[in-house]
Amino acid sequence: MVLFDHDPFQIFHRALRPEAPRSANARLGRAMPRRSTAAPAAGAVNVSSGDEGTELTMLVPGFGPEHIEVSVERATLRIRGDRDGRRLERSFRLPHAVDIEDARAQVEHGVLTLTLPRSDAERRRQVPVLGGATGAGEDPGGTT
Amino acid sequence: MTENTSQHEAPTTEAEAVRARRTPRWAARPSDDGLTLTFDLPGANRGELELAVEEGELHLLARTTLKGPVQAASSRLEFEPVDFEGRWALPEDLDADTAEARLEDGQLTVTIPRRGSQRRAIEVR
Repeated sequence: MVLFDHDPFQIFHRALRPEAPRSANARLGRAMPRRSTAAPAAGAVNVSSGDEGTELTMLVPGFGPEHIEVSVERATLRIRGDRDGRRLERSFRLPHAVDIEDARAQVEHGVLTLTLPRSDAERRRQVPVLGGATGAGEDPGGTT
Repeated sequence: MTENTSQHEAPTTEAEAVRARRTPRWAARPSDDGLTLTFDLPGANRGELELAVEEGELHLLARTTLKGPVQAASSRLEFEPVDFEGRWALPEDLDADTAEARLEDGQLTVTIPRRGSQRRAIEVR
């Protein structure tokens, strides 16, 4: 039995297709004029690095902490998301190796925040400068 | 010494006054008995979300906790700390009065049944 003499959603199907003409019947659509700048896409990141390490924020709307996997190998960061078939994957080259022990990752309200400290071996450390005297000099300690 | 009681507190961050608004990414798909709309609102939480229907239009305003970059030098800047806002004209077949919405992980799902698709008893006096 046909309940409707037309598909009620035909109107918005037409409106959503880019080549569809905008007619008075195209009811589903944005009533406000199109903005010149679009909303950021899922997976968009802001990355900033400093002496201490790197901070990265990624937009992951619809993903919870259990759907996101973050891994680091040497100086390559990989972020993967998987939820009900929705997939996200991005890799980044970091300007430094990461101290995994102190790395932090948090997902809240569809935003992933990563704090990736520089690994110790890469931190700037001072080398003690000794005088030219022989004998009772201190063991300079190693920076191996 | 008396205080000037006419002073008011300035906004905590100047950035709040000029926070940009973007129309969020959205998708619509028909369901068995109506329409399901999903909106990507990363950084939005329920307390800062306004959702309403007025004259057949869905209105959305979501303030987010998105922040600008923390350090001085950014190697990538792919998004700005924005809020989300938009209006969508709804097909007349839909019964907006019975719409339901759920916000989870920065994604808003709005389900709107078609008029007459839900059985509603009419009280007889």
